[in-house]
Amino acid sequence: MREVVILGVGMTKFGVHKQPMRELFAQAALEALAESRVSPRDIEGLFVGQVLGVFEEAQANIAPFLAQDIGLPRTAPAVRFEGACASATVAIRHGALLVAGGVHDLVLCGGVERATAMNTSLATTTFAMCSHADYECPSGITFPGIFGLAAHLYAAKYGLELGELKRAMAEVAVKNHRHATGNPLAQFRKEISIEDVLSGPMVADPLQLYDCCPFSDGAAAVVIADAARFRDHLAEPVFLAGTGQGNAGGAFSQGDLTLSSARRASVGQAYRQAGLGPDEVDLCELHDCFTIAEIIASEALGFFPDGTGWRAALEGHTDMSGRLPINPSGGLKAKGHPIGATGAAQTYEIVNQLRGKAGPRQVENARVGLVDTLGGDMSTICNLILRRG
Amino acid sequence: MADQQFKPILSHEEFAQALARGRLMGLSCIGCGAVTTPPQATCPKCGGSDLGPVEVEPSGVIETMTVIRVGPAGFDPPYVVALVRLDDGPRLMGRVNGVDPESAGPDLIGRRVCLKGQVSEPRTKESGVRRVSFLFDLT
Repeated sequence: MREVVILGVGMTKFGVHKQPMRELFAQAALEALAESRVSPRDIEGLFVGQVLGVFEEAQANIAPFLAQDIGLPRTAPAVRFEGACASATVAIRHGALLVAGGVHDLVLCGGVERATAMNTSLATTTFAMCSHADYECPSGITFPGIFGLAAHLYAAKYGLELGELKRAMAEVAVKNHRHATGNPLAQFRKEISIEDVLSGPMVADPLQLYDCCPFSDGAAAVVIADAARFRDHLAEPVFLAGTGQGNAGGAFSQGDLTLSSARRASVGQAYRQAGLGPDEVDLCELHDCFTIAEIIASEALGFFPDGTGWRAALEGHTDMSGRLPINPSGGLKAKGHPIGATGAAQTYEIVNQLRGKAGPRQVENARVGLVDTLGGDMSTICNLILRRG
Repeated sequence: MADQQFKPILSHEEFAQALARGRLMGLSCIGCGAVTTPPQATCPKCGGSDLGPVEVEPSGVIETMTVIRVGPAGFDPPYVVALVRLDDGPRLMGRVNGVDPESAGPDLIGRRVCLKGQVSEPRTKESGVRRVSFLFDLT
C-alpha cells in the first residue's frame, strides 16, 4: 500500500442553507482544491457521502451532478457513498484506499447534506430508516431513542445514579458549545449552561433537547493524493496514517450497546495500520450525535477505561485544556451535523489542527488526530488517523 | 444456477406467520448451539450455515428502555421502547405495553416480560413483506 497524504480541505458554514446541495458542495470542493493548489481537471475520482437527497431534493445519483458542477474530467468516476451518518468518512476511506492501492494519484472526497429541507417529522422518520427496517423500525424507535437505550443501560451497568450520568452528559453539551464559540463555521456559537441542558424538553428518555445534535445543512471536502508524488507539493503535509471500518447489525444484535463493538473493531484496524495507540492521539473529533454517544465513544476508542468516560467528561479531561481535547470544533452537537458531510468536516478540523491553523480553538502541539464517525444505530463505524508530516 | 432460488431455513414470511399465531420461531446452530431470532442466513455467533428451525421461549428481561417523546410519522408518542434479553439468549427491540409512559423509567430494567408479536400488512401492496412489531407485556 502506498503512503497517502491530505493536500487540502474545504467546508461551508454548517446550519440552515436555502440553496441546492450542488452549490454547497462546490463551495467546499473549490476551497479544498484551491488550498491543495490543484485544478478540478487534475482530479481522478470523486467519492462523496450523501444520505437523504432522495427526500431532501428528490435527487438520486447525485455524485455525477456534483462532479459536473465543479468541472471534473469525464474520466473521473463519481460515486455516492451511503453509510448513514458515517457516509463521508466511508467515502474518504475508500478514496484513500484507491490512492493507496495505486488506482488513482489524486482524488476528491467529501460529503453534503441538506437535512433542514425536510420538516422535523420527515427528518425524524427518514433518519430512523437507518435502523433495521424489518425488526426495529416497526417499534417506533428513533435515533435519540437508540442512545436513550444506551444511556439507561450505561447507568444501570456501572451502578450510577441517573442524575450523576446526566450531569456528565450535560457537561459534554456545555463543553462542545463552548468549543464551537471559537469556530466561525459552527451552527451554534453560543455557550449554554448545565441548567439549560437539564431543563430542556425530553426527546427520548433520558435525553433532553440539548443532549441531541441539530438537523443541519452543509458540505465539506478533502483532497487526497499519493504521497510519493505530492508530499513536497505543499509545505505542511498531513499523512493519513491509518483507517478502519467496522460493521454491526441492528441494535438488537449488537450485544452490550455501551461497548459499541463495531467501533472497537474499526479503530483497532486504524491503530494497527498507523502503528499508534490511543495514548499517542493528541486530539479527537468523535461522533457526539448525542451527549452519551461521546462518553461511549471516548471509552471504545481507548482513551478512558470502560465505565469511566462519564467521569472524564465531568472532570474536564476532554476539554480544550484537558488531557485529551475532544471535539475542539464544537462537535456534531454545536458545530452541526449535516449527516452526509459530517466525517469530512471532522477531517477538516483535524487537518487544520495538525497544521496549526485552528485559530482560537488550536490544540497545542497537535501531531496526531483521530476521526471517529458513526452511522445508524452504531452499525457503521469508520475511523481515520491523521499525522502531521 | 439461475433457476435455484435461495431459500432461507426460516424465511421472514414464515417467521411472521408463526408470530401472528403466537409462536416465536428462531434458528438453532447445529455447529455451536447458539439460538438466533429473528432469523438470518447464518449463525451470528460462529458464522455457520447449518441451522435448524426452533421454537424460542418468548420470555425475557428488560435490559434497557427509553420513552420516545418525538416519534417518526405514523407513531403516537409517548411510548416505551425496550431492548429485551430473551431467556434463550437473543435480544429483541420492541414496545412495552401496559405501563404509563409518563411514569415509566429505568426501574423497568430487570423486569420480566413476555413477548406478544404483532404482524401487520406490508408497507405497500406490492411489497409482499409483512411488518413485524415486537410487543412485550410485564409479567
